[in-house]
This record gives sequence, C-alpha cells and structure tokens, in this order.
Amino acid sequence: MKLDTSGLESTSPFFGSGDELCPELSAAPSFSLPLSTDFDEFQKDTKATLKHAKGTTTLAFIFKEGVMVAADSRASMGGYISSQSVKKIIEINPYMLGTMAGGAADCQFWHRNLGIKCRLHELANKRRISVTGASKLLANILYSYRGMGLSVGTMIAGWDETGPGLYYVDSEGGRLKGTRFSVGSGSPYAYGVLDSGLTCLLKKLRSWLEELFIMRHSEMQPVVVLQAFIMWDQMDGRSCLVMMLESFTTIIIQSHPVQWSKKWLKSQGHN
Amino acid sequence: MECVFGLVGDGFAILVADTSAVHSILVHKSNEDKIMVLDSHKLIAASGEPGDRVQFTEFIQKNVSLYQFRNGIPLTTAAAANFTRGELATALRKSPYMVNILLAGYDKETGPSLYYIDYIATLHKVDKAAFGYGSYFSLSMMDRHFHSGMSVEEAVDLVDKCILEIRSRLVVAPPNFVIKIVDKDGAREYAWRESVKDTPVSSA
Repeated sequence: MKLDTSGLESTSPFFGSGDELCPELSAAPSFSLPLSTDFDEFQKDTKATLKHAKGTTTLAFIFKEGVMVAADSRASMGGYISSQSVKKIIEINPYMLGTMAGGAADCQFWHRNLGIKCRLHELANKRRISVTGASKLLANILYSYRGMGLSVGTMIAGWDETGPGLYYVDSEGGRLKGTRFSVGSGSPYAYGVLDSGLTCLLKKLRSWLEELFIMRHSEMQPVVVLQAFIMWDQMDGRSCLVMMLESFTTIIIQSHPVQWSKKWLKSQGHN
Repeated sequence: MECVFGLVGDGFAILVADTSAVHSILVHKSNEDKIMVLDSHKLIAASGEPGDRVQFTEFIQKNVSLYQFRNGIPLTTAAAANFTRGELATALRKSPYMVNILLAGYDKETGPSLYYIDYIATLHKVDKAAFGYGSYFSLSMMDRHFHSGMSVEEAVDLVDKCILEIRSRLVVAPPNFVIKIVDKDGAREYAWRESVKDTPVSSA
C-alpha cells in the first residue's frame, strides 16, 4: 500500500503572503511526514525489529553416563544477528539445565522463575526437586498462559534421585518425557545426526561433537561457540560435574566440578 | 496423524491409540501413551492438542478419584462419561479443551461400555467409535467386521485389521499403537503394535 501524503504537506500559509511581522503565524500547522511512502515495507521493517530469536538448534539426550545438552550460540532479530555468543543453556540449579528456543525473553524469564520455584521447593522439603516435578511446574505455568503469545520451546534436563531425566516442554502446554529431543528450527537436522549416532559413549563424544559441527555447516549457520554441558553422577552418587565445550575448530573439553555446587554440597552435610 | 478407536466386545471393551507426539512435520516421540487408566475399571483415550490432552485427562482422573475418596464408591462409567461431558460443555464457551475422548469402562451391573465424547461436548454411548484421520479407515473396517459379542481374540484381530488398513492407506500414518483392555478384572495395557522402535539408551 502506498501512502498518499500530499494532503499533509505544508504549502501555502493561512493568511496573507510573506507577512514578515509574524512569520510564526503565517506558517501552516504541520508535522513531520513519514519517511517512507511504502507502508507495507515500513510495517515489515518494524516487525523485523521485534522478531524472536530464531534459527536455533538445541538438543539433549540421555546417554550411558548421564544427560548431554548442547545448543548453538547465535541470537538473531530477523535477518540481523545480534549476538554470536549467547548462552542458550541455562543453569536452573547445579543439577538441572534448561535450553532456550523461541522467544529469548520468555525463555530467560520463565527459566529464572523456575529456578526460584525449584530453590523454594528445596528449602521447603529439604531435598532437591525431581526433573519430573520441575518440568511439570514449568509446563503448568506455560499451559496457564497458552494462547497469550508466549513462545517457549525448552528441554529440562538433569539428574535427580531416580537418575537422569529429560523433558520437552513448550508454550502450547505440551510436556513430553523422552531420551532424546531437539528443539528449534534446526531440530530436523539435529535429529538426523542424533538418531544415527546416539550409541556413542563418553569417549566417542568428541568425534561425535565434531560431526555435529559438520551438520551445523549444512544448515548454513556456522556456529562460533558451542556450549555443551554433561552432567553425571560421580562415584559417590551425590556430586555433579559440569563440562563445558567451546571454540570453533578445536573442541576443548574442560572438565571441572562446579565450585559453588561443592560448597553447597558441604553445607548440606555431604563430602 | 492421530488415530484413536475402540469397540465393545463380550464382557470387555478395547481401546487403541497411536503413540506419536507430532509437531508439524516433526515426530518428537513415538512411544507416547495416549490412553490413561482412569481408575481400576476405566480407560480414557484422548486425542487433540497435546497440552489440553494431558491437562484435561489428568483433571478428570483426579476428580473421579476425589469422588471415590469422598463417597467410598467409585463413579460408574456412565457417571464418569457424563461428568466429563459436563466439564467439556462448561469449558466450551470459556476456553475450550481441544480434546476428543473415548471412555471405556466395566461396571458390575451394566457390563462393559464405551462412550464417545468430542471437544464440543457431544456424548454418545456406542459399540464402536473412532477419532482422528485414522477414523476414516477404522470406522469402515469396524462397520464391516464388527459384530456384537466378540471375543477378545476376535476383537484384537479386528483391531489389527484396522491398524493394518491405517498403515497401508493413510499418508500420515503413525508407526506405533498401544492397545488397552478393560473387563471384569480391571483396566490394563494389552499390547503395543510397534513398527518403529526408539533406539534404547543404556541406562546409567
């Protein structure tokens, strides 16, 4: 649609012509005109600035030693890439992770909210919340807001008293328990790799991840930082190890127990 | 796409549902159990939006068990069906639950029964019923081969015929199905019909 702004243009003054005594009166009342006459294009541009983070690939699966969660790190607003190093994996607590796909704000806010609820559960019941329970808390919240425009596609992964747990939760109110999931626009590609290479053990993870990088190229979205966490139960069955994998060409595996989780464990009477 | 159907036989009712959790073209899960054991002698199979499906069936299940807890006697299948219909009807003009339900049960007095309840709160007592894309095929199969007083073997045979027809004629046929039975001994899972297995993950 083309805008006709001819009627808005200030042309001739109201009275007189070139009245030098009161120039401010002679000028017709006016306001600045839209810079564009192409309304559709203008609207499209406006919409693009409000777009949710899209072009996401997040995945998680349960394997022999625990749960693996991986995600790309790009945030985009329509065609514009706003960040190449976004953390799409959110630590809800030292034993539970959530992934972000869809609206970044919605995901961040509700994961934080879930973190609070999980901590309160911990304080009230003197034990950590199960992955089942936590995922249901989130699913119930999202269900109560369904149809109101929330955009969340998340996986809740973690380790609880029953072992590894993995749930898929979305803003339509859906909640699925499973052993492997992938969310985001890149998920069909990830499923392709996931379905063929899940038998890998921990020692194979490195090569498997490299494969994953190749997959990501096929999606025409080179990823700068891949963030991945592995959570599993250590010998004592209590503590948790978080691994982070990053960098583009070489994958450096840093394994370090989370300091604050150890501190937290000590405060709980574990060694 | 979704296929839920069921029929009443001699002294039992049988429910069948596909087990696919689908989002547009993506199958997120192929072993999602869509038939809930409502109480000891009732089964509820639901199809529709995943969120509503789970939320609504759990809501019905909890309320049926609350009734039993308060009054000491369980709801009959007919009562549970009418309760379910009522809840769908009150929700219909507020925020409708997009779920279609098949409710099967066994009562000492009336024997097995099957109720068809759709999302606009239609209630029918029927001998055979189906929902979803699979219904186009399973209804005709059941019309052709169903007769009253079927034995479990005959009914399972018919169910397998329906599944075969769906798998061979429906473009968007789901790979796996779950079959559940309710009779005088209670509600239970009878069998799975799987053509795609989830690769097992060796548990820790």
